[in-house]
Amino acid sequence: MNIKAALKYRLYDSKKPILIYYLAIAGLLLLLFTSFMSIKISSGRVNGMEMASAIFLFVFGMNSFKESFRLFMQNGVSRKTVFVSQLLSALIICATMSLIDNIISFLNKIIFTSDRFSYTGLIEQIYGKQGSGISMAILSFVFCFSLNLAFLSLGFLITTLYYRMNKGQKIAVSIGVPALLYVILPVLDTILFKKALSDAFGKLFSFAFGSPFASILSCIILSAVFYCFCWPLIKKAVVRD
Amino acid sequence: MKCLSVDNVTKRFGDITALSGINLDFYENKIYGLLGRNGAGKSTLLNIITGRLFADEGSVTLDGTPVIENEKNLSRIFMMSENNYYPESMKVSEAFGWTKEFYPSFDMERAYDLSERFGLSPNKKIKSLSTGYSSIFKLITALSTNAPYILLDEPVLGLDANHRDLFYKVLIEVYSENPATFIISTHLIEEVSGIVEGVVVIDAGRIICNESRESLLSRYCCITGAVSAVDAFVQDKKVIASETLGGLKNAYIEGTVVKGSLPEGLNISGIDLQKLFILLTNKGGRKQ
Amino acid sequence: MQLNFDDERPIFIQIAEQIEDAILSGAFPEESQIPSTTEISVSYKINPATALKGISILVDSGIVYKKRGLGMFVAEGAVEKLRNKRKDEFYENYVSKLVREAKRLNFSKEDIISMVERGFEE
Repeated sequence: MNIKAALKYRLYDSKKPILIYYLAIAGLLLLLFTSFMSIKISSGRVNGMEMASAIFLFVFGMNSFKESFRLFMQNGVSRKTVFVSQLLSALIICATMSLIDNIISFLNKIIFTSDRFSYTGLIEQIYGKQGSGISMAILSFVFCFSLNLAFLSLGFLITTLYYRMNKGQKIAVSIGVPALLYVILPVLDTILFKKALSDAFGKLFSFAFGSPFASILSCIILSAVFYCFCWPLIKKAVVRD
Repeated sequence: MKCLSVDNVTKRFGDITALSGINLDFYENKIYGLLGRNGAGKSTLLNIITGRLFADEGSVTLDGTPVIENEKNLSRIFMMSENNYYPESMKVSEAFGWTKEFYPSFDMERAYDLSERFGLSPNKKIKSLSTGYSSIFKLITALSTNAPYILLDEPVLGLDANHRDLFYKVLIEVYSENPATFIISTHLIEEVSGIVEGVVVIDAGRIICNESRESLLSRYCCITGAVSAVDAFVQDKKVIASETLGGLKNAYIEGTVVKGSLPEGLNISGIDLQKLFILLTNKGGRKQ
Repeated sequence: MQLNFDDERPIFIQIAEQIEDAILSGAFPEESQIPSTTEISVSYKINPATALKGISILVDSGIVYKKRGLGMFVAEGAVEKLRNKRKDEFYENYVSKLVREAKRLNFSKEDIISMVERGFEE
């Protein structure tokens, strides 16, 4: 089986972008820290840097199909292995980054501890303090992991979908989806549904993401759904030039 | 059965039928030439064999089991494509390393030795290579995998005469050392005609010829002489093409002619593979 | 050495003949080693199976023989054997044609012999 080699390649291939991302984050924190030390700013807050990781992973997911798929096809790797290796690498990367982010968060809390400057982790920023010590750390880890996974898998789904679509379909989706979200639905919502649509969406959102546990569950379910859509797309993907 | 079999494969792209009802067997440790004009369907066929494209009908099997999505079989086949499927930033040496991950029988020593003989620098990025060196890189990779089935799609694209000569020699060296089945798709028929053992000619998506080079060439010959004498002689023979130059005529016929039976003034000669290919795939000379 | 791919004779026969020529010319003396199948196929750019077939003809007719683990060697008496074989071919290819043509032109046997003698003197 090629799964080991395929996974090895995927992890090797992700090392560089992740390293660059954390270098940028480190630079940013350094900048914040020095300005906090030197410039006389009255007060400030640094919040949930973990969200940046989720967004990074969305973009990362968008870039993790075409190139590796072609390399794998060149080397006699089955589509099943293409899919499974992506899933396994996503789990490993999301967990690793969640761990790193929580360590950074922990360090930030030590560094930014004046009354003028404070740091809050993402989960605390959204839901407030959830217990303390180890249980809080574990919850934060799982929360970030599931959020990372949902973003990465969405990015991956979009890129595989685009890979399978022809030019016309790509244009239709690129225009159609934003138009639906930003024009058609809001207009319908206002005129036809008298805000019932946005109310329902708001209720659904607060139900799904109302608590850390609900969020974790929702993110895992969303990731699973995204991957379920990815598999048939990959199963029938062909090498195109 | 020990062979790579293509069974009744048909492939359509929209309204165009690229391949129709292809049946072929490629046996162990033989060198095949896959010959066809541009757009005849050579690359499509190779891409279907390696599972990069899906056939609309039919199947490809290796020793009786399907190839598609079957890594046990896929890892016994290596295909050098006309296009470059390596990532933007990958170096030649890294590509060798990753190929070894997927094809553990990859001979790293040979890869570096061949790189030196062809003057390919392993530290270069693949995307920065010229067309010729890109082909050389892919060739070296393919020839070092030691896979039992090696498919080469236009292997000498962009190579100069010296590098082509070297490639054919290296191919024979590798083949002598580690026998494998090679399927070489090429336009440059003259250059491979001595190397290939089996000849597969594909024309407009159909196989029009599939036999050993020797038996194929022995079935055809060329009769040369005065127009009237040639015409009289070939009257009852199957003429596939002819050309006249003043009073002189060449008639290309299918069938064997005993030298002694030839009337005075007529000459017989063989037809080389390239000439025969042109005769078989020209519109007029196509067998239906 | 050159192969002719549009010759009506198959490549393996041409290979055999070229090695015979090399033996006759003294390039491969008796009891010396001839190039291996791989060397021949690489230098001519032909399939090793074809080269092997050419050499097999020479083995079958006792011109070369195999030394286990070492390679192919020219047999003792190979030159003599080849010369006899070529003599027959020479008669077929040249003498019989010459005589046929001479008869057609009404040349006598003596005419021909004197012509041959002249040819040797020149």
